[in-house]
Parts: sequence; C-alpha cells; structure tokens
Amino acid sequence: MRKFLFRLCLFVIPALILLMAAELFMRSLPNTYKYKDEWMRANAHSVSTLLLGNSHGYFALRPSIIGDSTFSLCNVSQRLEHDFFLLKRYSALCPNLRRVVVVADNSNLFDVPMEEEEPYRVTYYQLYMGYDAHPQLSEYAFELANTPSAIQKIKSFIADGGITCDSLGWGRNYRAEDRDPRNFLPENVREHRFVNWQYTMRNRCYMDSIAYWCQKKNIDLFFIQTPVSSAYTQKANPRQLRLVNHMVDSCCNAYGAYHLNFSCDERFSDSDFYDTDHLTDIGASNFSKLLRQSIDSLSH
Amino acid sequence: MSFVSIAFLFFLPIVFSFYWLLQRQLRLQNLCVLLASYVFYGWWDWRFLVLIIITSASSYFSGLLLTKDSKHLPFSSRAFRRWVVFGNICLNIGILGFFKYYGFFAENLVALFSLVDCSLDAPTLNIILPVGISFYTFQSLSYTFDVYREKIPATRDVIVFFAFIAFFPQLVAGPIERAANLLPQMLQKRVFVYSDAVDGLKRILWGFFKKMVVADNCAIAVNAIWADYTDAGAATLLVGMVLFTFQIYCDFSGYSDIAIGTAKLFGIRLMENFSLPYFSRSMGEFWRRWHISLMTWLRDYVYIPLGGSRVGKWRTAVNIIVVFLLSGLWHGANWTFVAWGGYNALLLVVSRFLLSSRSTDVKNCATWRDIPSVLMTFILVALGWVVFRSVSITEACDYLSCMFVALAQFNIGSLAVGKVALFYCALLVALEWIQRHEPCPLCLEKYRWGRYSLARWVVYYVVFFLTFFCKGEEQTFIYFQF
Repeated sequence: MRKFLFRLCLFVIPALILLMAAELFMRSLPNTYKYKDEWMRANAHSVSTLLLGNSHGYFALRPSIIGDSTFSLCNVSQRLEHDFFLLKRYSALCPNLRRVVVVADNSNLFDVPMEEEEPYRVTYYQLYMGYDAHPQLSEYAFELANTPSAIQKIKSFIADGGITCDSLGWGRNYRAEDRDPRNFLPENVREHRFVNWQYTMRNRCYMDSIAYWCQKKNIDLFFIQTPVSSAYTQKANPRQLRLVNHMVDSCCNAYGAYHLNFSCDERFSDSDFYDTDHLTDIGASNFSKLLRQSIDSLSH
Repeated sequence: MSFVSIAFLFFLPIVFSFYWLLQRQLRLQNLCVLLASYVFYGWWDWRFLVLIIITSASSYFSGLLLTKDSKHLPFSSRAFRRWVVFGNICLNIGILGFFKYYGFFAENLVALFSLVDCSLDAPTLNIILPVGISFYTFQSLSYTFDVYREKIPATRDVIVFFAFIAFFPQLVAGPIERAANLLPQMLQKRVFVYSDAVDGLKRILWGFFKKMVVADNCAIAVNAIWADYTDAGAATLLVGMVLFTFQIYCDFSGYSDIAIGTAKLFGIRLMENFSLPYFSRSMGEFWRRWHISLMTWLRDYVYIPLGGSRVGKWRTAVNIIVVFLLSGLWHGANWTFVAWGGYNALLLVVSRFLLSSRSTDVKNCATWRDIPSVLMTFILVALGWVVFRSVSITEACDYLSCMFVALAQFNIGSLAVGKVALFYCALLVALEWIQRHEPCPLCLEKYRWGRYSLARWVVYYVVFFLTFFCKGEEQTFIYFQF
C-alpha cells in the first residue's frame, strides 16, 4: 500500500503542479472581464452612468459619447441575470450613480441560461467578477476546464493583448473597414429564437429586479433596444418582437423606467452594421449620440 | 454521482482510504462499501435509494425463502420455490416496467385503440427514470435464478448482499455482475495487491480517455449532424454514422473500464464487458465481444431455458430473435430499440443459417488478413446504430435514405464537422489494434521499451494530458438512460 501511495503521489503531484501553473498562467492573462472589474474597483466613485447588456450594447454603446462619467459593463452574451448581479455589485462602489442603461431586446429576453449555451463564460464571471453562482470546486471554477476557450484566450492575447474593449468598456473590434458583406446573407442572420417560457420568465424576472432595484435607489433606468438591420428584422418572428415590446413596456410602467426602442430606426442603414444585429464603430458613434440626446431629455 | 465529476474526484480517495483502513474488519469494510454505494447513488436523487433497497430486500428474502427447509412449508417445496421466484420476478420487473415502460405502453395502447376507432384515456404520468434501474434489476434477478437453480447458496449476510446489488463502480451502467463472481469476493477478506491497484488505475485512465476524448468529441459532431441531417451530404451522414458507432462504444466501454478499474482498487475483480468488439469478424463474434455481461445474462436466463441451439434450426432462430428483441427493449422504451434488436437478430440468423459463417473464437484476435470481414461486420453494426441513435423509426429511415441517395455525390471534401473526432477515432483504433493481444489496456511492460518506468510514465502522462486538454464537451453517459 505504501509503495502504491508513494508512486501515485509521484505521478499525480507533478501533473497537479503543471496544471496549477497552467491555470495560474491563464488567470494572469489580461481579459475584458478582469479589466472591467479592476477599472470599476479603481474608478467607480466617479461613475454616474452605467451601461449594461450583451453584445448589442457592448458594440453599440460608446461611453465616451454617452456621458462624461459613463462606463460600460456590457459584454458578449451577457445575460440579464449577470446585468442584475453586476449592477448590485458595483453600484455599492458608485455613490454618484444616477443613470443605468440596460439592453432588453429580442436578443436577451429569450436567452437560455449561460450554463447551457456558453459555459466557459460562466467561468469568467465567477473568476473575475465575483459571481459565485456555482461552488468553488465546480467545472466553472477553472479556466482549464474548457480547453478550446483557453486556446482562444491565448490567441486573443497574442493578437490584441486579450482586452477587446476600450478604456471605458466599449467593444472596439467591430470596425467599419473590417465589415464583410457576407454577414448580411440570409443564411448568416442570427435568429434569437424563443426556446421556452421558463427561460423567458426567468429573464423577465431579472429585468423586473433591475427595474425594482433602480426604483428603490431612485436611479433613472433606460431599457433600450439597439438598432438592427432590415435583414435581421425580416427574419425575426414578429410575434416575438411584439412580445418584447409588451414585456419591456409593462416593466417600465410598473417601475417607472424608460423604454427607448431604436430597433426600427430608419436613420440607420446597412452600412452602419458590422453584421445584421451589431453596429460598427461608426454606427455605434451615431447611435450613442442619439441615445445621449434621448437620455438627457428624459433624465431628471 | 458521475465518474466524470469533481465530486467523484474527492469521493474515490475518501472511500478508498476508509475501505483499506478497515481491512481487518470485513463486516465494517462491507458496510463501508454499502454506505459509499448509497451515497454515490443517492447523489442523483436520494429517492432512488428506496427502489434499490426494495429490489435488494426482495431478492435477499427470496434467496432465504428458496433455501428454507421443506419440512416447514405448508405445500410442496418445488411449488413453493417456483412461487417465490415468480413473486420476485413480478416485483422487480413490475418496478422496472412501471418506471421504464409505463409511458411507452400507455402511449402504444392508446394508439392501438385509436386504430379501431376507440378512444382510450390512459393516465399520463410524469415518471423519472431512476438511473441504472435496468442494470441492478437484472443483477438481483440473476441472484434469485442462481439460488433457485442451486448454482450458488443464498447469502444470509444482509450487508454483503445489499453491497453486492449496490456496489458503486458498476451500479449505474454495469457490468451486470453475477452473484457467483461477486458475492464470494465480498464474503472473503480482501488483500491489497499492488499490481491489481496499478492495473486498476491504468484501466481508469484508459476509460477516461475513451469517454472524455473520443466519445465526447464524437458526440459534438454527432449531435450537430443528427440535428440537421436532411440538409447534409453523403460524406457528412456517413461520418455521422461512423462517429456514433465510436461514440457509443467509447462511452459505454469507457464507463466499464472505469468501473472495472475502480473495483480493482478495492481488490474486487469485475467481469469484462467489452473485448475489442469492432475487430470482430462476424456478427456472432461481435455479440460475444459487445456488452458481454448483458449478452451472457440473456444467454443464461432466456436463450438456454428456451432451448438454445439444441432445438432445431427454426426454434433456434426464434430463440435468437426473442433474445435480441428483449435486448432491444431492455435498452429503452422506444420502437427504435426494438427495431435495432430485430435488425441484429436478423443479421445473426442469416449469418448463422444461410451463410453458415464460421464460428470465430473470441480469444483469437483478428489479423491483417481478417480486415475485409472486420470492415464488413463494422459496416453492418454501424447501420444498426443509426436506428439506435434515432428518435423514431421514421427518422432512422430518413437518415439512411438520405445517406444512400446522396452516396452518388460522395465528396469527402464537403465534410463540415467531425474531422477532429475522426482523428481521435483513428487514434483509438490504432491504439486498440496495437494492444489487441494484451490482457488490459496500457499494459506496456511487454514491450522492450516498456520495461523502463520512465518510458511507461511518459505514455501515462501523454494519455493523462490528452484526456485533460482534448476532452469534448461533457456529455452524460449514454447508458445512464437505460
């Protein structure tokens, strides 16, 4: 038995050391989640406007244009669940917070939980933003638990330093000059399909929680629908789009929030889009100006 | 608790430590196995424990009743024994039938009545299928049959018996152990044997490689192909079929390897469940190498009691068909499984009686000269797996027809998914082919270079890190649903 245990340790310990070193290395690489967390810890006291949402907000909302003390906590595939968590977590550090802008549209109200679709992103929220929805020893607690995403992260680090946002959290890598017309072909249109009521109601609950929380804290809340291309609208289910409007409107009525719907705004043409539902950097600048005007006119 | 979970990573060393600390107290050691097994099983849902306890208790008391002295019985011993066995079968098959087949039978009964314009309102129940119920039910039934046939004595030690039914390494997906093999090992004092424990670890490593690298990577491609098979080309559909053939093998045999390896760590030898089935040269050989514990169970308790092969050609053919239809139904409550069983029975009957295929000895492995027959068998088996994988018979027919229709425009360059998985499958075939004469996987000592520990350890590290870094998206073991 002693010989067995000794040799087992001899085999396992170097392997564990190697894996731990690899995990520490992965965690030390800069990434958007870590950057946003560090920025908020250092500068949150000056923030008066927080932007929350998924990729629609990440690429469309330019904090530098929306306001002087604005920061974007948006991220790709971020769920309303995470928006609510981030709002609660960082607002404690933001004594001057007056306005919150949250994306609530066809892309995130019907989302399935992140654990089912992109489990590796759960790890980022858990490791870098303190979202402890899962045990410390779960599969979500290690970067190495998902090799393809770890490889992707290393590639991103080599290509652009790992951080894909600007200093205020805006996703800067959808540049107009990189735009590919093939993104607009009907087969490449991303459909945000309704999956089941359980998920929709879950997202609705988080939306209500955000609105209730802002009402309680006397913070102006704006639910926005970002512009989308005509190809996207054509492929989307009209009943689903009506349902989005109904859900957001009813939440705004109940909690005194504002609903700003730019999804059918004709001031945006296909040239403003990187793909069917994401704006390019130029489109984002135009949209952010419009949004600023709307917010300023509605704010107390 | 699944083998592929962080919980198991902690569970195994804890149980291992307690188990060997209690080496000198056999009864406590068996109690440790029983408690660990119940924790392992209850990890899914503690309510399932009630069922396994009922199954164990019924078989335990049946065994005792079967050995009861005939002087104390109110009627003839033979009749009494038959009633005991019958009662035990009814209870166990009743539980299995209710949890596994109720929905299936209710649905088909309604459909049958609707054919004659009769509406039947069968109550629909939302029943959760307890994990591994088919495995432990068959294991407990085999004990009752063996005691009835006086092949083994009934055990009076309740802890040993309950531990035999619930022994955690093989509880949820086999091998379906026989009391004659496992019970005596549990009744006698176990001694820690270094070489067995090392073999066990190698087996576990190999099982994880098969499951996490090959099966889980295949699963990603297979799911994608099956989700959109109507628009896929011939190459994609063909690859989908081949990948599922490897997925199910690596998923199930990987589990068996981990189970056998884990049991070895506890000084217990489980029966082999797979013996390189895809190197079989005939369908008969394939079924002697695939899911051995179920096929020998069906042979001993269904095929032979029906007369086996000693009752003339036609009756033998009928017996084979009965066994395979039962095997299909055992896998799940769906007509696809029955059709899969029927397809295999047909192939076996044809190869046995029409083609008079030679009986191949499982102990002899295929050689290079056998490759054509190995490939032929593989293709026939793979076609059957399409039926097994499909949700309905219609889907299976559609998939196969799409594949055969598109074969004329076969273009391997059009393959969109599954290239990585194909590479892992090729790697597995190569490794299994190299090791086909070895008694266990990763037995490297027989090679000249394998005599050096460092060289062996390099191989173990390569397999370990391959498993860790090349694993696919985690999938539940396919056989958990059975």
